[in-house]
Amino acid sequence: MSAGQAVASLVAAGTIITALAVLGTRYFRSQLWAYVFQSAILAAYTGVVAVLDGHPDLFWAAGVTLLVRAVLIPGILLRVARALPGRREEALIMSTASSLLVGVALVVLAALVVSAFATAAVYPALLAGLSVTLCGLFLSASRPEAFPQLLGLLQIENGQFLVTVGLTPGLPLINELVVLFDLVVLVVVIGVLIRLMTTRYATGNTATLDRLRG
Amino acid sequence: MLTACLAVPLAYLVLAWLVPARWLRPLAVAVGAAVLGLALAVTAAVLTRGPVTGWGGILRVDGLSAVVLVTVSVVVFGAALHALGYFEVERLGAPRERAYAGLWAGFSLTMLAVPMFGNLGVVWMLVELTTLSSAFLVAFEGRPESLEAAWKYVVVVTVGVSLALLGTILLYYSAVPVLGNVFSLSWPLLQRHAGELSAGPLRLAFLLVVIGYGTKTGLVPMHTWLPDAHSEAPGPISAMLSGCLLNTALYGVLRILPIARPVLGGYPDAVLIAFGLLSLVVAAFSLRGQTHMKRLLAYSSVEHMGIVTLGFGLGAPFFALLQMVNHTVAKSLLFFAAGNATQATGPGIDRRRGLLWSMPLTGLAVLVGGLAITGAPPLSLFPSEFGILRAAWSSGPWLAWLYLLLLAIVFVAFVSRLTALVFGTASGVLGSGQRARIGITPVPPAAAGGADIGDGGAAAEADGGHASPVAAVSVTLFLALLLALSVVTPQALVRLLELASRALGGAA
Repeated sequence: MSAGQAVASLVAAGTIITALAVLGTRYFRSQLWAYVFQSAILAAYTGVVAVLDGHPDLFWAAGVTLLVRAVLIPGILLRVARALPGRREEALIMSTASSLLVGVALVVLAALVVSAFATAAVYPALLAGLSVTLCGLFLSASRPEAFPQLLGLLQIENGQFLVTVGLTPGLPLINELVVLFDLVVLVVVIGVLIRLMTTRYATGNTATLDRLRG
Repeated sequence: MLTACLAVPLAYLVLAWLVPARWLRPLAVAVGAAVLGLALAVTAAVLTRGPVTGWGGILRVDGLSAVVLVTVSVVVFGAALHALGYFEVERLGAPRERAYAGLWAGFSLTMLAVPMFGNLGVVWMLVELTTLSSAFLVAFEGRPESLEAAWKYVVVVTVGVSLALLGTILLYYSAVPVLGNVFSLSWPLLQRHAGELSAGPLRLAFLLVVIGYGTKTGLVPMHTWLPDAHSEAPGPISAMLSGCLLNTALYGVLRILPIARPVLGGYPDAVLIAFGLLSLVVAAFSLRGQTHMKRLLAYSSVEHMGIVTLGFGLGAPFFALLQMVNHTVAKSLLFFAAGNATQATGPGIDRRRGLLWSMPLTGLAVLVGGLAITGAPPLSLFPSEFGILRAAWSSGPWLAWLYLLLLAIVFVAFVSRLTALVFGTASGVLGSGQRARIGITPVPPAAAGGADIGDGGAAAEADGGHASPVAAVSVTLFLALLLALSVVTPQALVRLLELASRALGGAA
């Protein structure tokens, strides 16, 4: 196993564990810390790939990732969370234990899909990226409140970034632009929407948003 | 020419913050007309000289791009016209109108740009950006329901479209063995090497791209945001969502289709047929029992996107594109008419029975547009729906019978709602003595101001269900366009669609 593969395996383990950790708790702060940890791992991995594969422009992407996904976004979310009335536990549709089980099943599914075509060199990154994406997807689909839904979305972005860096580190320029544009969309639209909702409902619970049916 | 087509809405985006508020609406109409003119000029150039490029090959418009470009610009122009009447009734005040103008320009700009760029990564970014500007437009009227719709729209669509990015990355990966580690993700390049991509990642890539862009196209089961967003958005925006946004999202799938086909064989078509049929089934049964006019139209959009997707999957790209073009015109007409009716008497279907008697032009538009949208014979959507039926028949009679059965269910469901709406006795909210007729009822004095307009429907009801005279312009224009397209399909359109279907690798 080369050094690159060893690092990729370690990164895969770390990101999958953090993704499952988010599913396994109902405390927003714990989820946010897991996300921060995940983003930090991602940034470090990007840096390592930049050195090993010789893509100096990836350093820039690593820096942006660290700054924005591990510091800026969590910071903004914490501030918005403080403005909300003082509940700490999220409402749940499915218990955290069952969510965790589904999460594990999704990781197995990702492994099945990926092993169909991935070479040994890209297997860890692809597996982790797809797992994190699926866990994020499940999180945003299964939680009734706005914050975990948003966190699910952010995790999907992380998963994709992982796939990009692990699979196609040479993807030109688009790499950075994608990172940037995602952030614009997420912060501006969703940040504003949460603000709107908190002023309207004084809660981030989208379960009260149920007038439109059929 | 391509640059100008993008520069005009961009200039308006800037000007929206500078010019006096009373200039905003006429200027928007001018922008819409300019964009439409430029798009038609680009299309003419594509027809005579082949693909138009710009910015050293970064911009690239071929037949398929031109089809999408034209549908977008037609509705952008229509929406600008319709906004004249919308703001005449709503009277929201200068700051909100300025915000609307800026968002409208941004929304138009991003949608116009999607079919112009030759790089699939940029196309993905632009599709994502259309969500940004339109989310605020969906929430524009500020009711709790509109906020709910906007939230759902952003979350569902962003999640969906991010899967398309994953698909795009895998597409890149599938080309790495052929093109090396660093190359441009441009579709002409990938199309040239389409036969050499590696099948494994490409298979997953295509599925993810269809799910991703399909979310924004409104394909079932990712369609859940669509009826909410379409029904809660202001009238002009509903038309833009249905008439162009869905097309631009589908464009993302169509670009990948000829790249995926050579290696994957029948797999891409099977995926498209499955999603198309599922959308058609679910929409057909959801149309029944809709009591909200714009929701009815929204489910009809799901149905039509299903038919279009099915048509592409069946290898009948000409008719699928024809269906797309005609759906754009007919659905925009219906949303404009529905917008006028909603502003006059509220969104419900039952409350507004007898539209033909209370608002004759709107009623006529709903009747003709509604019949067209169900594919009733002499009107414009019949030939394309029939063409897709023939394609279905040649790939399997059971498919054709299923398709026909579903169209019949749609027809019954839609027409039953339509007759209640159009012909019923005008005994609901409007008394027979207070018939509002477009172009005759004077607009009430400006005293209404900008204070209590949040509930526009109720405010208008109190005035006896009026609609502004300018509201008739967009409806009349699109009604004429729909009837013209029913009588004759212009030769230029036929040639354009043939060109586009060749790009998709199908027989015309």
